[in-house]
Amino acid sequence: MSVPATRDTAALIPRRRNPLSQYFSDLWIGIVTILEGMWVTFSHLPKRTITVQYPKEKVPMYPQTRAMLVNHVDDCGYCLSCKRVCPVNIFTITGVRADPGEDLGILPDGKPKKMHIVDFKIDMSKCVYCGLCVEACDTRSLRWEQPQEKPVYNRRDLHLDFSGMTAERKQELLDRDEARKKAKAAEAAAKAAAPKVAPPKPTSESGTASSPAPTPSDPS
Amino acid sequence: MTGIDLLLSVAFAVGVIGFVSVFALVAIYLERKVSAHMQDRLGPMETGGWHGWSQTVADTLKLLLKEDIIPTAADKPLFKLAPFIVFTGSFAAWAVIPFAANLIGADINIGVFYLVAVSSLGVIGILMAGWASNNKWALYGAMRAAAQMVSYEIPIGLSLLVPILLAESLSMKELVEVQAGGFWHWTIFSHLPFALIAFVIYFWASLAETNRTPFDIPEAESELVAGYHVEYSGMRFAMFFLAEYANMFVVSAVVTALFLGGWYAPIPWLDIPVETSVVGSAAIGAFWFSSKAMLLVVVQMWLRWTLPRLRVDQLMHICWKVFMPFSFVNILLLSLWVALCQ
Ligand code: SF4
Ligand code: SF4
Repeated sequence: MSVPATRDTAALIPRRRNPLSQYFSDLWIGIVTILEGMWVTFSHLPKRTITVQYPKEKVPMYPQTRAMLVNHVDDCGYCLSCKRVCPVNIFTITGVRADPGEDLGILPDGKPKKMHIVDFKIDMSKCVYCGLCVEACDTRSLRWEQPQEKPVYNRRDLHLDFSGMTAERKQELLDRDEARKKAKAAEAAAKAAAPKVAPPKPTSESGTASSPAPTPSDPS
Repeated sequence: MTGIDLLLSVAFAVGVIGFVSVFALVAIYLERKVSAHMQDRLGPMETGGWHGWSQTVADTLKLLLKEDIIPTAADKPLFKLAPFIVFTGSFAAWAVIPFAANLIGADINIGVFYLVAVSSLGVIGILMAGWASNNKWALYGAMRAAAQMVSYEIPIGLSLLVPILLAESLSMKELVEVQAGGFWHWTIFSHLPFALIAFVIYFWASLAETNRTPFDIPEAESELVAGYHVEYSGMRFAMFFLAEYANMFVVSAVVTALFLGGWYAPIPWLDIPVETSVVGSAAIGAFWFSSKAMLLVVVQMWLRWTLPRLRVDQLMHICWKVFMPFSFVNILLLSLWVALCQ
């Protein structure tokens, strides 16, 4: 007669031909295994716990953990690879060209840094942690770093800005850029306007193709 | 019954309600901690500061404040009544628990018989809950509970006969008094093979009686959601919970009283006799009694977190094919021994 209580461990239990001795051997094995199990659970009582009290104690993450994106703007060369590669397009990067002669330091790849990073915003609430941006960054300025968590009360607080500039400085740089652009545009307009008057006009169709400058109405 | 007797009985009942509630709070906390540490976890650690000591208090408050949901399709009067019947069943058993020589609710001459009778009252409440919930899981759970409890009543009754045979009494008080004078006089040690077998069978079968793992098939979370109390919420659910923990203590108390010397200390000179000091003997008796019972409660938890749940057929197999023959043979041999040697 097969005994349901031990059917599952049939392979482990010696089978006897006599049903009565089978019954007693099953019983004995039952008692022994229960005591064995009780010893196992008891031996775990004084053991060190393997869980940690999370917000109070933290397990250090591995260096390759995709935790939080951090951009060290001093090393960022404004190549926009990260922005281009991001599948969810969450980068907002604004750069302002440095003035001639202004020294912004050297990038890790040995080239001089040419751009002020006025804005480097990442909307982490949309990030899918694919890590493509970090791989795309040649200068290794964009990296995964600790902490692994950033709980916020407002979704806006996940819009990280790494430019590290005050609003005034940003405005100053932007104004400077604006002024420079205006000056350039005015110069270009002047340049475009000057030859426009001098040479005699060919046919209207071929004229647009040969003249590289925009029409005077464009920059304003 | 005089007025003072009545007053004392009421006081005892109120005291027991207080004790049950506090015991349940402590036991639930203990169970969480025991289970946690057996699984290399920590258990509740936050509520109340030191090791989350007030976690169960907070949970009770939560249960008190929660909405009491009654399903539309439920049989409302039965549904409302069921938890109270379950609780009454386990609470009534406390009347005959002898905490000390002079601290016992009612020393009736059929104490053990009464105990076996009222502790099976709970199954009516469980059936009621399962039926009234109008939910297939609840009904399955209730049917399983009924089958299980009715089966396990028999080995329980048979193994309780062993100390009764030895003490020649059904009164809880007298059953304890025959074990006076040191742990070597306790039933479990004084009549070793018979009493030990009866002890193991009773303790094991009482796990089934209280629906605890490995016999928790009526509640079987992974199969039946929560069994007969799946539709209950808030305070009514808490009543079931309270009854379960009260039952745990009751079965441990019965084992203590019948097999482990009741209120007597392991070594006689640790006791204070009633003649010396009434209050002192009650206090020390209650202390020893509760300590022994608490130890058994911990063993119940230990078993719960060690063993997996049985299948229904395994459960019935253990009851009818293991416990029954053993308790019968045990009783038979003991009767022979008592008849021939005493
Ligand atoms: S890791 Fe986040 S930010 Fe970087 S490319 Fe993927 S989605 Fe974009
Ligand atoms: S890829 Fe790196 S260097 Fe290029 S813009 Fe992004 S962060 Fe800066």
